[in-house]
Parts: sequence; structure tokens; C-alpha cells
Amino acid sequence: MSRRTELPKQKGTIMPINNAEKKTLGRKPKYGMLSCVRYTYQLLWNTERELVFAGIFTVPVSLILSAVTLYTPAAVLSVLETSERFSTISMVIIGLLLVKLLFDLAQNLISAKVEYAQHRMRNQMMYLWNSKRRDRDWNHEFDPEIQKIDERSRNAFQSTNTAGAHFPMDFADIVSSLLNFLLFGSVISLLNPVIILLLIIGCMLNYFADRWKRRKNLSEKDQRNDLLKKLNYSTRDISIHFEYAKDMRLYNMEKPLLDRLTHIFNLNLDEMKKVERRNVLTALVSFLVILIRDGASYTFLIYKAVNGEVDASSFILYFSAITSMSALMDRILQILNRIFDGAIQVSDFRESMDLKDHLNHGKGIPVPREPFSIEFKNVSYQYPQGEKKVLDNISFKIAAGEKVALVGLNGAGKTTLTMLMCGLLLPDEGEILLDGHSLYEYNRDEMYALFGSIPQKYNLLPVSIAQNIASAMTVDEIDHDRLQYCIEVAGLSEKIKTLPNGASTLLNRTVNKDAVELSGGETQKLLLARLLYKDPPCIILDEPTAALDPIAEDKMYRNYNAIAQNATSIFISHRLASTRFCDRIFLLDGTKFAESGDHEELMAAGKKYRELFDIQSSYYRKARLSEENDRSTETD
Amino acid sequence: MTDQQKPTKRNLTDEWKLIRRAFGILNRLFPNFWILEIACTFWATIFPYFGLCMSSLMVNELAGTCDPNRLLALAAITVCGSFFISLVSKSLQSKQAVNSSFMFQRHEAFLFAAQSKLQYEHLENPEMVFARFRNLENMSTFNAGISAVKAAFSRIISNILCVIFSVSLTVSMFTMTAHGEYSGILGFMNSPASAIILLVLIVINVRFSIMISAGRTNANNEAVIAAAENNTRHRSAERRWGSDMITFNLNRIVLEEFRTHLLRPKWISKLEKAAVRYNTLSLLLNTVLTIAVFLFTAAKAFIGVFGIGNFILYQGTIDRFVTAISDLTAEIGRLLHNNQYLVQLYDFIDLPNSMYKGTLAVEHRDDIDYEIEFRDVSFKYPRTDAWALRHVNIKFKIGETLAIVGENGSGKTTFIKLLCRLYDPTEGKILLNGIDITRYRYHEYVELFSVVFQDFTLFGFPLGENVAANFKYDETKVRDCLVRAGLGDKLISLDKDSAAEEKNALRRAIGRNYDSDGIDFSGGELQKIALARALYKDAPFVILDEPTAALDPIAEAAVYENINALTKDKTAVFISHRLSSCRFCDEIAVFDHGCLVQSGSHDSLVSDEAGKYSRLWHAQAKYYDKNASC
Repeated sequence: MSRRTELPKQKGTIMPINNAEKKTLGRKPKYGMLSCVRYTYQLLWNTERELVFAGIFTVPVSLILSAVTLYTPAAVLSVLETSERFSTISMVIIGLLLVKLLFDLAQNLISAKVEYAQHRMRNQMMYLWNSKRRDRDWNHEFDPEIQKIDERSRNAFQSTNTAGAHFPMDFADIVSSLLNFLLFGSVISLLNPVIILLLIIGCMLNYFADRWKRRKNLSEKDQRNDLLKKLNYSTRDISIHFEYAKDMRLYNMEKPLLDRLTHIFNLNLDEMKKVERRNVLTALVSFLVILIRDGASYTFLIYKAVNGEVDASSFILYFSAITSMSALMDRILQILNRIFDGAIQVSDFRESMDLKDHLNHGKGIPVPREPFSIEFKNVSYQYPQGEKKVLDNISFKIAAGEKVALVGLNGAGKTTLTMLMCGLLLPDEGEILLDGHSLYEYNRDEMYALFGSIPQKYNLLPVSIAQNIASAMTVDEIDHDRLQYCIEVAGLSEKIKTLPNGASTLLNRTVNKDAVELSGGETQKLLLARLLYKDPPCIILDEPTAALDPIAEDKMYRNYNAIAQNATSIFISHRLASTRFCDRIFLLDGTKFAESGDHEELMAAGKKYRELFDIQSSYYRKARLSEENDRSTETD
Repeated sequence: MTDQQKPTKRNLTDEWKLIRRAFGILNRLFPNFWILEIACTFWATIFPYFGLCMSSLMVNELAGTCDPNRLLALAAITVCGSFFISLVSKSLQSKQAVNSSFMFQRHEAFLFAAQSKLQYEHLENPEMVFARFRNLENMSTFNAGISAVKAAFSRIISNILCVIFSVSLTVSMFTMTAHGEYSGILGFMNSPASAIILLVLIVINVRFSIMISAGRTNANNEAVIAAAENNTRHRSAERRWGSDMITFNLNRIVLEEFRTHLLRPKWISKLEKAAVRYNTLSLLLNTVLTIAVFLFTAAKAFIGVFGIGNFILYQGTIDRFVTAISDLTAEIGRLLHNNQYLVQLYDFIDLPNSMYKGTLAVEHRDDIDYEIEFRDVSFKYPRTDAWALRHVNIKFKIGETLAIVGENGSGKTTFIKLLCRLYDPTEGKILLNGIDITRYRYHEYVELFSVVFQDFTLFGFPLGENVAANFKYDETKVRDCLVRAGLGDKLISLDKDSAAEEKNALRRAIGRNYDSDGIDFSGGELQKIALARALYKDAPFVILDEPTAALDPIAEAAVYENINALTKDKTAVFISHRLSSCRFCDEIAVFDHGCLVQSGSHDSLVSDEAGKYSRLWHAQAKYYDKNASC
């Protein structure tokens, strides 16, 4: 489940609700049917070629099999009725069954190949989708339209029915169904061609009943999905996340939560009953069609048999031809439906794969190696989902190597500003210059490499501690001296000494059984080590002291100078104390910069900054005053 | 993952006990599911046999006298009977579908109810978190655990019915012989010897089918274990998502994980090979049997023992019999294999609760006079050797405000956890009005506390329910508490929100996890909602752990200014890193390395310049000194 980083503090991660049944009818897909089929075959050809071939070979095999299956009982009955010698009968039986065995074996081979090739195809698509999603510009993350595309395209491989992977078999199915149709059709035509017409009418009846059901279900789909989402949240989410347990216990919430669950559960059950009633109704239609079909064909065949026109074996042959024929027609319609649905899924998948990025993915101008300047020129930004601008026409310049503090009230846009700075968001208006050049001029990845941060919402990977610190894909990438140095400086060496495998110890116990769990403080140190290892020319620290005790906070401030020594740096904090270490302070208020300058200047200006500082420091100063009072009384 | 899967030795009685317990749980989750299940299976199983019988009768009639009336009567019975059976079976199925719906959600709800009775300690144990996730994974990915028992039940019933029907329909095949002398192969076919040989063939076939399905189950199980590991990896990798993934170029590590573990997993090709092997074997086996049955029945039909219609019947039923027997054994094998997942489930829900369960009622005094005393309390977290708290002695009365300060990891939060009885002390006692708190009823004891933890949680449910911590709530009171917590303006703007369908702010959900139309509150707003929840509870003790961490200076100041109003007549316990907030408190307790090192008023503590408190205070206060320079 993709989550916006800006979402409020919610515990745990949400897992995707399975939307496999989310059919895509009633929406116009972006790409046409034929183009989707071509796209799929290209993909298949490049990844699971076997599937394409299987789709070709399966046609003759399944044709012969269905012919053998159709004729075997009739042929055996017929030799039984006519033949004089048992040996002939045995030869026919053995012959037919061996032919059947042969083709059964062939089909068995093909279907095993197909099943697992489809599975691999699914993984393949998942991989492609993930690598695209992880490689695209980060600003897409905040676009609700793109979130919808994500959600939709994910369905392409969410269920076992992988989008497009079934095309080869579906087409093969259609071809062989049509050929079978001719086979059975010719058998029945011998009897009476009108039967075929009647069968088609029956099939249409079924089809319309089914369509009615699907449309009805579809019209309530959103409501059902909403209810299911609520049910999943009330059952799985609140139960799997133990973080809820503490509050649940202290507020005796178990019973209320179960009440709510029952409430939601019953609503879901009502929906389900509605759907099931429709299922029974459509099934009733199909049973009636069968009742009439079989009744009519029996009567007709009996009439023929009594007149001596058909014998027992042809009776069986004709009857099974009639039932197979109508099954065949249902099947063709079903497969066509599947192909159309599949094409829509493929189209959704492509839509996400073809998403356009704005930043430069090609060759860019050389990136600065040293600390560089950052300039905003009339920059405005509004989140796609937001109601108003977060930043409005902001201009400023941070000189190379300058240390800047960014302060402001909650929601003033401090984090947004830093994200714009490093190209994680793109401005609606205005220009952002890094080292005097627009950030569109740099190669995106090289530009990203210029920045480093200790983010509020961090990610650690289920690989070794060393790999996490060095952000290394393989062990060979790690510079071990540098690693040692960073571990030392970040204050993590004591912890690492206690681990049997040292820095090679894995993280994340849900994935790696012998992994280590780090405490909150240790994690912070690891994040610091990661930043030190990267040693980027620009550093962004977002509220790094929020959870620290006074002494650790103090230490952090003192370390800050060392960390940011050779870099342009931006420090975001609620605690105005942090601003003391910075060359300049920017105060964001509303959508604008209210003030900027160094601490003394802003205090002297006596505006918002001063107000904030006074509020925060008043308690400390009051204390100091009382301390002094104490002292003065003592001296008196 | 793998070491959990080691097959453990259990005797059949134990296996049966495990299954029976699962059955009991199922019956609780799906009341009387088994009655419907049996009815459903019965009608679904009888359907093909009915068809076979009727068509054999009809063919016999066709090949025999060919009486049109009898033929029409047979046809009418066939058609109407089929209609009737399918209708009954479909409506039962639909009923059953409703009755057994939402398996996964019911299972999760069941675990929820079970784990809310567990000792809190288990829920902070990573092993248990792992176990809980494994149970989820077992169910959601492999349908293993109690859902497998349910599925197996209906399949076993169906196979047993198949065997019964098949046997009763084929007995005649062996018993009927023709009178008269036949030579050669026909003579042999007519003799009892052939029937015995056919029976032996059937037995051999069944034996081999069992072997094949055992092999297949084994291959599947291996694959399932491998797939489980892959799944966990994939889920975990997919969750790594955020902007630092980009700036630190971490996505390529995730993708590398994907490539090595998930792209072309070995278990898929293994499974493919196994499928081909076992399907080929069973095809060969079945063909041999089919040929034998065909020849046997054809010979008997040829010499006129029975009509050629029976030929169709026997051939169909024997086929079904063999499949049913091998499926039945496979099913039982799978059921036994599934027991290891049941064990995982039971191990989780049966975790021991060693907390002392008190029976005393907590007095609800009108004069709200409560006194809490920590008497030489020491505490070690389970599975650790270090003392989190050591020899803590402290006493506080109703109406006082107490601040707890100290460095990270000095035992502040542990102190709160003990006070709230999330854990029991390892040594020493905590007394409420002179009586050990473990002797009170837990539910009543926690009624005394309104707590806002540092890592508080709110649910995705409507705002009103969150504040009231209840499904039903008093709207005026909820609004009042939200206003007092500082959310008055937000409440007004939400009530006026023209874009939303729901006009009443209290009925809007928090976040979008539960309801897509929910409200995304900021971290500071969420903290205020948590505060409102504590106010709504109106308990005699108010405990606030870092209540202003997510607030900006102005909001923080507002909270402190109100704090006395918020906690009037109550005992308030604060934990805060911002020492400025402690100044309001009557008493400050300073923790260091699990010990209570200092206590007293701010003024007295700050004047003790060698003390811990003074160090903490000055570390922070110096930055706010106007005269200090950078």
C-alpha cells in the first residue's frame, strides 16, 4: 500500500486490500484492445516465451482430445452392439484409450508448463511494476490521480489471474472452441440444424442473466469495497498491530471495538446476501435453460430412436454433442469476457509503466562536488490534494556552505520546502537553482545524490547493518575504513561490539530470523552513521531532536557543527534553541517567509520569531529569575 | 521460518485433539456450519451419480425394448430430477456461502479477542509479533490453520459420500454372471477369478494413488514453505517506501532483493517438475485401470450379463471411486500436515498469563481520595538482565502534580507501565490506598487512569468514538473535551466542511485507513485528540507522557497554560523532555539508570548544582538565555 509521507502519525503499515474482484467494466481503458494484446505478447516473448508456444501447441492437442472423448463411449457402444467377436471390441477399446492417454500426457505437460509460467509471469510483472514505481520522480507520490493508477495497475498481478498471462491460452481456447464448435455442430447438423439455433438462444438467455447480475453487482461495487475496507480494518488492522494494545487496555476498549466490529460485519453480511440472492436467481435461469434444452433434446432423440433412426450409441453421441455444444458456447462468451477484462488490466498496467517523469533522466550537466548554493526564485507550491498553496511566491538564496535553520508553526510547509529543494517535489511556479543551475539541468539521480538527511519517516532494509549504513547493494560496495569511521563517530561502535556478527548482523526480524532489533536511540545513531557515510554536499535535518532528552539534544546540537562542517545545511526544528548554531534563520508563517536573518537580528526585529522565542524560553527564564531571586534572598 | 516447520512427533490421539479443537473454534465462528456443509455436499455429490444412473437406464431401454413411454418417463425423471437437485444444491450453496463468508476476517477477529486477553508482556515481545504475523500469513496466503480444517471437512464428507455411492452402484458388476459356457477370454471374464483380479487391480491403483498424492502433498508443502519465506520478504520489501529510499538510493537494494529471491524462485520449477511427474504417473495408472474396467464390463455386456447401459454406469462409477479414495487419503494427509499450523495458532492463543488476577473492587470514593505508593519497586523486562527500575520508592496523593524527568532510557516510561499494571514489578510492591494493586480487578483498576502515551494510538474509526473510546458516546461531552484539548477551531471548521458528505465532525473517521473519506489530522492535532480522550475518561489520575512533543511552541504553551485547568482535582503525572513544563509540578522525580535519584520542587532541585536535574536543566535552558551568544 503506498502511503503518502505527509500522512499523520498512524501506527503500522496498512496492507493492500485484495481488490482482485474489482472488475474494470464500465471504464474506458487508455489503450485499445489490440494494442494491449500486442504489448502483452511482446512482454511474453521477452520473458516467458514458453507461454506463447504452449498457446500454439495446445490447439491440436485439445481438439483431438475432445474428439476422442466425444466418440469413445459411442464407438464402444456401437462395436458392442454390432461386433461378433470380442477381440475386435477389445482392440477398439484399447486403441481408443491409448490414443487418449497419449494426448492426455501431452496436455498434462503443456498445462503444467503454462500454470507455472503464468506464475513466473506474475512475478515478472510485479518486478517491472515495482522497479518502475521505485524509479519514478517522487512528486508523483502526492498526485491522487497517480495513486488511483497505482491502485488499478496493481490489480494486474494481484490475483492469481495475472493480466495478459492468460492470453495465449485464451486465444488457443477460442480457436479450439470454434473448431470444436464446427465438430459438434456438424454432428448435430446431421440430426437437425434448428437445434443449433435453439442452443444459441439458450446461451443468449444465460448470457443476459449473467450480464444483469454483473451489472447489478458492479453498481454496488464501491459500496461493497468501502464496507470491506472497514471490515478489514476492524478485524485485521487493529488486531495485527500490537501498538494499539496499550491504549486498548487502559481505556477498556475491547468490548466497544468488538461492538463496532459486529456492526460492520453485519453490514457486510447484508451486502453478501444481496449478491448471493442474485447468484441464485441467475443460476435458476440457467437451470431452466438446461431443463428445457435437455427435455427437448431427449424428446426429440427418443422420437428418432423409436422410429429407428438412431441407435443407442448415436443417441449417446448426439446427446453429449448437444450438451457439449451449449457448454462450448458459454465458454466462448466467457473467454471473450476474460480477454476484454484482461486487456483492461493490461491497459492499466501500461498506464503506470508509461508514466512520464519531469526530471532529467538522461545526461545532465556535471554536479557540484563541493557545498553549493541553493536559490528559490518566486517558487509556489500546492499539493495536488491540498486546498490552498503551501508556499506562495517564495524567493531566497542559501550560500554555499551556509547553515540555515527553518522554523515555523506546525503545517507551515517546512518539510515541503526541503523536498522542493532536492527535487522530491516540483514547484508549480518559479524556479529552483542548485549551484546556479536549474535542477532540471542535472541528471536526476546525480542530483539526488547531492542531498542527505535524517528523515522523520525512515526506512531500514532487511540487509546487514553495514549495508544499511553504506546504502550498499552488495558487500563489495562497502568501503570498510569509512564504515568503521562512521560507526565510531555516530556512537554505534559499542552496540556493534556486542553483536556476534558485528556490522554484518542483519536487521529486521520478520524477514531474518537471526536479525537484531535496534532500540529507538540506536536506530537514530544508525541513521546518523548512514548520513555520515554518504557525506553529501547538502544536509537536511528534519526535527532530529524531537524525541531526545535534554542531554542527548544538547549533544546533537554540538555534533551538528561537526556533521555539517563541509556542507550546506538545513535544520528544521520546533525548538528554537537549535537556531543558535545556524548562520541564518528562516521563519515560515502561512505561505510566506515571515522573517529571515540571524538570531540577534530577528530578536531585535521583535516580531513573530521573538514572540515564539519568548514563549518557549519564558519558562526557562522565569526559572532563572526565581533562581536569582533565591540567590538574592540568600545573600540578603 | 524453516526451523518452525520441523515435523514433530505426535500420536494420532493428539492429532485428533488438535483437529477437534479447530472444529470447536470453527463452530464458534460459523455457528452450525457442519450441518449446512453436509447438506450441501450431499446434494452436490449425488448429482453426477444421478445422471449416470439415469443415462444407463435409458441406454438399456434403448438397446432393449425401446418402449417410447418408458423412455419418455425416464427422460422426464432425468431432466426434472437434475433441475431439482441443482436448484436445491445451489440454494444450499448460497446459504453456505453467506454462512461461511469472511473467513479471514472472522479469523482475525477471533485472534483479536484472544490476544486482548493475553498478558501485555507478550505483545511487546518480538517473537510474539513474529508468531502473530505468521498466523496471519498461514491463513491469508496458504489457507492453512483452521480454514484448512473447514475446507477439508467438506471435501472429506464429499469423498466419503462418493465412495458410498460408487460402491453401492458397482456391487452388481461383480456379483452378476451369465449362465452358460464361454471359452477363452470371455470365459475367464465370466468367472469369479476375473472379478477378483479386477478388485486387486483397483486396490493396487488405490495404493499407488495414495502414494502419488502423498508425494504431491509433500512437494506442495515444500513449495509452501519456500513461498512463505518469499512472501514475507516481498511484503517487507514492499513496505520500504519513502523519500529516503530515493535520496540514499535504497530502492536498488530492494529490487536486488526482489531479483534474487522472488523473480524466478526455485520452488516454482520444483513444483512444475513434481506436477508433471505425478500427473503422468496417475494418468498411466488410471489408463491401466480404465482399460481393465472397460474390457471387463464390455465382456460382460457382450455376453449379456447386463445391458450396455450398465457399461456406462460402471465405467463412470469406478473412475469416481478410485479418485475419491485417493483424494480421501490425500485429504487426511493434508489435514495432518495442517496440524502444525494449528499448533502455531494454539501456541499463540494459549500463551500463559502469569499476571496475578485480583478480585478486589476498586472503591469509587466520592471524596476521590486515592494514594499511590511505590514501595521498593524493582523491575527487569522479560528476557533482559538489566534492571529497568531499581529500588524505587515514591508516594503521591490525589491532587498533586508529579513530573518525571530523566534521560532517554532512564526508566520513566517503565515507571508508567508499572503504574498502569501493563507489567507487574519484579520486586517490591505498588500500593493503592495501602493495598497491593495486583489484588484489584484489572478492569476496575485501569479505570483510575487517563493516559496519553508518547506512542499513543488512535483508531481509524469516527472521531467521536475515538474520544469516548466507545462505540456509543455523549456528543456534548466529546465536543467539550475536544474544545478543552485545544481543537475547538478545528471542530468548527470540520462541521462547516462543505466538501464532506457527513456534516457532523464527530462522525468523520480519523485518517483514511478505515474510511476513505476520513480526515488526515496533523501529528499535533492527533496528540490533542489523544488528550481529549484522556479528558473524556475523567479518571482521578492523569498521566501524560511527552504530551507536547509534536506541538509547535504556541500550541505547547497553550497546553501548559491549560494544564492546571485540565487536571484540576486530579493527580497529574507528566513525563517531558522539555523541562520548562515541569516547573508547574508540585514535585519532580528525577530518574537516572532506573533509579530515582532526586525528587522535590523545581526550585530546590535546580539549586542542587551537583544534581542530575540541574545538569538536565542547564543543558536546555542555556539556549534560551537571551544574553548567551552562539
